[in-house]
Amino acid sequence: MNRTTLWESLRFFRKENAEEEIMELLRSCPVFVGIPDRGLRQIREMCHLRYYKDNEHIFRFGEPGVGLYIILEGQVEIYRNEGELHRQFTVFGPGDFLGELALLEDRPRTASAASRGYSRVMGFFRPDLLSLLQRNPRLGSVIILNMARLTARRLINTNDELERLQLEASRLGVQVTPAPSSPESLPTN
Amino acid sequence: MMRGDVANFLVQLFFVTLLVSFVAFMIAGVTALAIPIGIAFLIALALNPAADFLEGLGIPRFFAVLFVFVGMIVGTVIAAKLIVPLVIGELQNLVQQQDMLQERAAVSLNQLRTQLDGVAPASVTAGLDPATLIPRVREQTAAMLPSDFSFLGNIVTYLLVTPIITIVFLWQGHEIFHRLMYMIPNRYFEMTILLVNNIYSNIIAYIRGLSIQFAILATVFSAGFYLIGLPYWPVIGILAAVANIIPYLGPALGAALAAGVALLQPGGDLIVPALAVVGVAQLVDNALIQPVILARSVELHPLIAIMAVITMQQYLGVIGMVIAIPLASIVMVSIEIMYRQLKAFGII
Repeated sequence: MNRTTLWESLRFFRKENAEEEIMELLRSCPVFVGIPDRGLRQIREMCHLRYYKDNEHIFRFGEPGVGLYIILEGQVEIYRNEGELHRQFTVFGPGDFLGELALLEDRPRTASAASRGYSRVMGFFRPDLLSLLQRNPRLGSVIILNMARLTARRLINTNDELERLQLEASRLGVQVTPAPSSPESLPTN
Repeated sequence: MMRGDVANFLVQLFFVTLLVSFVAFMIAGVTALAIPIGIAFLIALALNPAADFLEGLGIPRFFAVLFVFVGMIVGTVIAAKLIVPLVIGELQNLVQQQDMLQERAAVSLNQLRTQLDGVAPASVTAGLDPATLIPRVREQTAAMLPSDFSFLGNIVTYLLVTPIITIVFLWQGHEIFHRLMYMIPNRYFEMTILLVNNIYSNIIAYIRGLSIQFAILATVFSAGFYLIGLPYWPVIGILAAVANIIPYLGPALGAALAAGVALLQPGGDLIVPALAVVGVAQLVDNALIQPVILARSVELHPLIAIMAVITMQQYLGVIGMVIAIPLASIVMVSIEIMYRQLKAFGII
């Protein structure tokens, strides 16, 4: 589909372009914000590039969470099957990331992720992060800090949403009992 | 649609056949190097945390690996210079004095037979006849030792090849792992990542625990035997620590070895102190090392442990008995983790 020049068709230039595209996506991913290019290159070397066919699962609901995926190409649907009901939460596209909470915590996936059409994703996993924390603690701590920021932002959003719903409920005269723990805004871990 | 499926299947079959043929070809080619590759892999496993630590200090990976490797070689050479002459000297003493020790053993056995005469059944006293018992013990000891060292291959080749492969594993290990992971199908990819990392960290913890256990026990045994004045103390100390790896039978072997050497000393006064040293070492092992250092290691069922020891003894003699438990533990922990992960991923 894409028209390429002769030079771009040559492997060397094509590879360079693909690498630059991956670097650009890494730079824009909130998990890797603030990491210099040299560090991003090290992270890139640790990442696993994976290709998925249409309807192929990246991960399934209930399976142990291993890490985060960044979508390079294609679309990924996040969903959960509840009995007969297919509940779609969202569809991610290039540049989006999913499953980031599994980087921090070893707990089962709360939803399934399946490729819609052909997709190319890059995985960065908890063992990679732990290895990075040993091999390059400065880089690892930037990722941890970014993850903490993301989690805090989600918590604030969830609290705001909860507060809004409580106000709405009290306005309608409904008694609301707080849940034992805060729900996640999107079940993508 | 059907034609497309068949074509896909044929392409996949062709690709898998090509891959399997290539791997089989490579394995056939490197069979001769299986032992140095295995040794290099284990050394790389043991040294990898140190290389990671240095890299964490900002040293580039290549230099971190080089530094760790040179450090290991220097450490080994220093240790060898300190310990090997001592051990060889003691072993030479043992070999030179074997006739004298044999005579002493014969005297001790004859004394024992005289004391047991009329008390124990005749078959027991007949069994203690030095003329038959000593050659039989020598034969059985020789049978337990590996008679064929051909599996060690060409030592010079190993000395050249092993360090190179170790450096490659240490330096490029992550990349090799990534390349291999690339070939794993998507369905099993996440599971394999978890599996490999869990097995790796458990093996590292186990090897580390075992090394600390061996170092502490060898020190306690050797120091104890030295203090009570037992001859050949470094050899007996190290052998008792090595034997301790064999469950149930190991401590008894260590005690028998120390008691045997003590028995052969004039007067035989050292038996009780030697057994006391073994007792203290066992106390240290059971009260300190086992619960604190090896607490998180795999717990082998006694039956599996004994079966592993017997099986490996048949293949590799005493060396097999010593490596049986670490090997069985590594296999067991791998199977346990694999089972857990396969269950968690709904594959079994």
